[in-house]
Amino acid sequence: MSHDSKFWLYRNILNLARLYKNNVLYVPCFMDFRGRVYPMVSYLNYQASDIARSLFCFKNSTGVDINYLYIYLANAYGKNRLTRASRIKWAKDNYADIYNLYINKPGEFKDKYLVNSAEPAQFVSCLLSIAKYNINSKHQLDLNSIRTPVLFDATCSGMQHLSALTCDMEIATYVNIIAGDEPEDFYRKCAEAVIEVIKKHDDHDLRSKLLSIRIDRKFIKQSVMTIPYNVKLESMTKQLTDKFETFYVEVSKDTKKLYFKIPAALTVDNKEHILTGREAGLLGSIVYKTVLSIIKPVNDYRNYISKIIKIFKLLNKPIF
Amino acid sequence: MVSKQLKNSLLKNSKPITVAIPTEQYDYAAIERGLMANLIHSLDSSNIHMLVKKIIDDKLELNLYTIHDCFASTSGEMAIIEKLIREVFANIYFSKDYVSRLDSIITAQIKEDENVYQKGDKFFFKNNSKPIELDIPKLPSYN
Repeated sequence: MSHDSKFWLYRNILNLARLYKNNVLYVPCFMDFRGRVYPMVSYLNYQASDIARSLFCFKNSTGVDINYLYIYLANAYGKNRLTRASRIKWAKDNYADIYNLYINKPGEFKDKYLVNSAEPAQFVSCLLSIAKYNINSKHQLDLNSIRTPVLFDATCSGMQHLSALTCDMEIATYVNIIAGDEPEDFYRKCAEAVIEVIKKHDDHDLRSKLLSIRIDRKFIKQSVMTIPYNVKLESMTKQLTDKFETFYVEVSKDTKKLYFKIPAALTVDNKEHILTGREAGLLGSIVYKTVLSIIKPVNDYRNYISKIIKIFKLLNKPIF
Repeated sequence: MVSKQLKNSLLKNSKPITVAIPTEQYDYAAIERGLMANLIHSLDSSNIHMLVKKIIDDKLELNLYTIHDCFASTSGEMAIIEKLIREVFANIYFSKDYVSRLDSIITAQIKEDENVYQKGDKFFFKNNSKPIELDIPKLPSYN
């Protein structure tokens, strides 16, 4: 989002928040045809950006579970891949330093914590709730005045539903339906599997080029997320290669060849690398096939749906 | 739907606007693209609707708002919300076999079409020139 767009977005949210400050308000919502619920109001609503979400409190509270506030603080900072116990420990270990910097050295607080937070506004909102809890507990004041919402995301909800639909224990474990000692990370599993497939590729040049890319959960997440949603190979490859810079080289009078420049931030050795169009296509194909092999029962269901749709096309009927 | 660009003839410098115009044609590519996403989104919204119903039925007064697959409450109530979410999620899948039910509904729609007829254990689509045998897929086996 451009600087100006952000400015107007934040300004609208903050002006609305100022207008409604200390008032009880209801957010009108609507449902779409799937049953999903969305607020009808723009800017200041609980589904909007980090800053909008950080400004809401529930009207009432029935007490505080400090461990949930610690977990939420760690999540908002970006420690959501840790176990719950580790997140609580991280928050307890760092709380005093974070709060001290927030109060006494705001510049240092900004550089050390705020700019590194996954959701900075919610991070501050949660930090202030923990501070209020500590003060109120110490002076035996009302804890029900702490009404900050704590948010918990599903791991990878599409895959959670599909693994339950297809009774697949392995995928259910990857997406934390079946609890293990450590939280599983489906996207990290996929990234690791892709690297293993590349390592075994016959073409030495291709292998070394593709292994120069930092294939981690962040690189792969967006593409993997859409595979259960029936995304096609071409679209998924485009999602991957959109992270690269494209350029063309003239090979003859009427022919130009497509190349991709991989930025240094996305490579293992922090140097720019170049992929041909064909190599980028092969990367997409490896990611696509590898993920489909991991979610085979889901892929079988996708194929079943595709065949059903072909029949409906022949009948010229809608599915309802 | 087809997209059509319209331009205001009174204002020369106005930007054209694009409107979607309904057609008589079904867009099967769009149906195929959207079906899995719609199925998943309807399942995660079912999770929320059933959670809210459970909270009301059990006469619990709990803070809750949801962002599709993200749940929010006050910290003191989050433990019970988490427990209820898991309970409701399990109920969606362990009390009913959605995949089989959906398969029965969809295949019934195919078999009951006025242009589809059965010969032996095969189904055919009445075509102008030659009947087309329908390859109705079997639901993958899930245990």
